[in-house]
Amino acid sequence: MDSYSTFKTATSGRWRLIARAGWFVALAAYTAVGAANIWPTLSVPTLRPAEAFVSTDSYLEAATGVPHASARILHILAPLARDKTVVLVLPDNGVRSAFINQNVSYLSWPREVRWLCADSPNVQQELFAMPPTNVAAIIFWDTPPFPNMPAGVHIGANQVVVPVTLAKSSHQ
Amino acid sequence: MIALGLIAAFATLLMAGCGICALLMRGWPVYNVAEFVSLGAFFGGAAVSLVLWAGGFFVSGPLLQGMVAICSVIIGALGWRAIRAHRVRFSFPKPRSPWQLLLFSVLTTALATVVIISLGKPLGWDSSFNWEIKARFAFLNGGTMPGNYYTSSGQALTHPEYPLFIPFTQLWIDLWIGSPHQFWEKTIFTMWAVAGIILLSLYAARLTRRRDVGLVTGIFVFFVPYLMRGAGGITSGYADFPLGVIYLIAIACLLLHRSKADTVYLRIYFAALPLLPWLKREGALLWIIAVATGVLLLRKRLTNPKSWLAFAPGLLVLIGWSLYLRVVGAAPSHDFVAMTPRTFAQHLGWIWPIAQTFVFELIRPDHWSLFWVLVFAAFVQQTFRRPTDFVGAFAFALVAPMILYMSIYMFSAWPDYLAHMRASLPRLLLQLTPLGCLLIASVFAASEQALAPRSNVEPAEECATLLPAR
Repeated sequence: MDSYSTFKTATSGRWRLIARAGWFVALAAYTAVGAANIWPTLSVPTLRPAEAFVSTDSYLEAATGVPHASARILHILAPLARDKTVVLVLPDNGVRSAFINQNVSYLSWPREVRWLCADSPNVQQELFAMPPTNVAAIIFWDTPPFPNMPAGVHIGANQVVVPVTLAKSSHQ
Repeated sequence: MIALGLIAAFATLLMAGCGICALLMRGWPVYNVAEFVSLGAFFGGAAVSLVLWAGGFFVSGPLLQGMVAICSVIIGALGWRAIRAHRVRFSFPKPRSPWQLLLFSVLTTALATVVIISLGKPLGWDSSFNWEIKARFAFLNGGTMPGNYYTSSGQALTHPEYPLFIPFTQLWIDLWIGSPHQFWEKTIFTMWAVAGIILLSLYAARLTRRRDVGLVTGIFVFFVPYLMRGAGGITSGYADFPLGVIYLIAIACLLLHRSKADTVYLRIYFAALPLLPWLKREGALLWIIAVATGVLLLRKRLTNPKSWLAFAPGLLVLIGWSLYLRVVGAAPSHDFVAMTPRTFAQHLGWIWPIAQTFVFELIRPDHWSLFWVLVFAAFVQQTFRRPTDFVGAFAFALVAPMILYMSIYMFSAWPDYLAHMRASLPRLLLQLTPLGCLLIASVFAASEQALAPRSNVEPAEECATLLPAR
C-alpha cells in the first residue's frame, strides 16, 4: 500500500469515526427529547372496559356528565320512526356544538339530523316550518325546550328528547 | 360469544392475508414467521374489505359474510398448497447475542406498552367519524354501505369519499361479533401498529444486513412524539400509520429487490401498491409516487409492455372507487376547491406561508423530536456514500410526497388555509415516518456493498439471511 492510500484510509476511518460519534450524539438527543414529550402519556395508564360504545360514551360523558349516554340515546330513539328527521337544537354553531351534532348523527342513523342553533333569532320559526310528520324527535341539548313543548325524556340534566313521530311498528 | 366471533374474524382475516403472503413468497424455502404474519395482517384486511365491498353489490347479510369467509378460506388453502408444494419451513429470528437479546426485550416491551395504551384510549375523532361510522352504518344495512349515506348532507363531514379498507375490516369484526363494537374494532389498529413496527425492524435489518440496527430502528420509532401521543398517532386508531407502513412495504421491497435481485420482493412491491389507494385518499398520491419510484428503479425490466400490467390492480382500485363514488352521487371533499391551474395561480401568494409552516412543523420538537433533522442528515450522508439510484429512489419516495402534500394546501377550501395545514399536516407527515426511519437505519449498513445493486444472487444465499443463527 502506498503512502497516499494509507493516508486516504486513515482519513476516511477518522471521518467515519467522527460521523458515528455525531450520529450517537444526535440519536441520544432525539431519544431524550422524544422521551420527554412522550413520558406524560406513558405515566397515565388507563384501561377501559371492552364496551360497544366505549368511544362515543367517553365523548358524551365529557359533554353531559352521564355515563353510558350512547346506549341511553339509542334506547330513547329506538321506538321513533327511522325514516324521519331528528331535529337537534344546540346553543350555537361553535366547535362544541359541531362535536355534539356529529355524535348525535352517528347514533341517530338512519334518521337524518337537522341542526338548529338556539341563538339564531328565527330558530322557532325554522322548527315550526317543518311538517311534524317529517320529524321523529326534537333534541334540546344544553338549551331549554321551547315553551309549550310536550314533556320529553332526559338524557342528562340539560339534554331533553321530545319524541314526535313514533315508528309504525310502535303504533301497533 | 364475542370471543368466538373475534377468533373467527381474525382467523379468516389472517387466513386470507397469510394465503396471499404464501403465494407472494413462493420460492423462499424458509419463511420468517414475524414477517409472514405481519404482512398477512395488512393483506388480510385488504382482501376481506375488498371482497366485502365487491360482494355487497350482489348479496348482503349472512350470505355476504359466508361468501367472504369462503373466499378467505380458499385463499388460505391456495397459500397452504404453495407452502406444501415448496416444502417451506418456518423460523423465528432469535437474538444472536446478549446485546440483541436486550434490544429484542426492549422492543417487545415497547410493543406491549403500545398495545396497552392503544386499548386504554378511545377512538380518536377521525377514527370514529371517518372510519368507524361507515362500519356501523354498513353493519346496520346488512353489510353494505347504505346509498343514502353518500347523499346525506348531515354526513358530509364524515368524508364519504374515503375508501373502505379500514371501515370494512372493522365491519368484518362487527359481522362476526354480531353488533358494531367500538372497542374490538380498535384492535385492528393495534394489530397493524405491532405488525408495522415488526416489518420496519425486519426491513431495516435486511437492508443494512445488521439485525441490531433493525431492532434499534423498531425501538427508535417509539420516540416520535406525534406517533405515540398525537391526534393521529398509532394509539388513536387513525389511518396514517397503517398507510405509512404499506408505503414502507412497497418502497422497502423495491429497494431490497434492487440490492438482492430477488423477485419475491418485487411481487410484494406490486401486491402492496393497490392497498395504498384503497386505504386512504392520500394513498392515491403515494401510489403514484411508489409507481414512479418503481419505474425509476425497474426501468430495465419494464421493456416488455406486459410487465406494465403489474401496475394495473392499483389503477383498477383508483378507477373503480372513483366510478363508485360517481354512481352513488357522493359529494366531493369539502376541504378542497377544484384543483385547477387557475386556482393555483390565484393562490400564488400562499406559497411562502405554506413553505414556512411546513418547515416549522418539521422542526417541532413536541411533534417530531429531532426526527426530520436526522432524516435530512441521513439523506446528506447517503448522498455522499451510496449508489446514486439508491439515494435517488429514497429521496424521491420521501421528498415527492412532501412536495405534493404542501401543494394540496394551495387548494384549501378552509377560510384559514394555514389552520387547515396545521390541523392535518402532522398526520400526512406521519405517513412518511416509517420510510424516514428506514433511511436513518441505512446509514448504519454493515458495509458499502450491503446496499449495492446485485443481479445474480442465488435464492439459497438470499434465504440464508433469513435463517436464525445456527
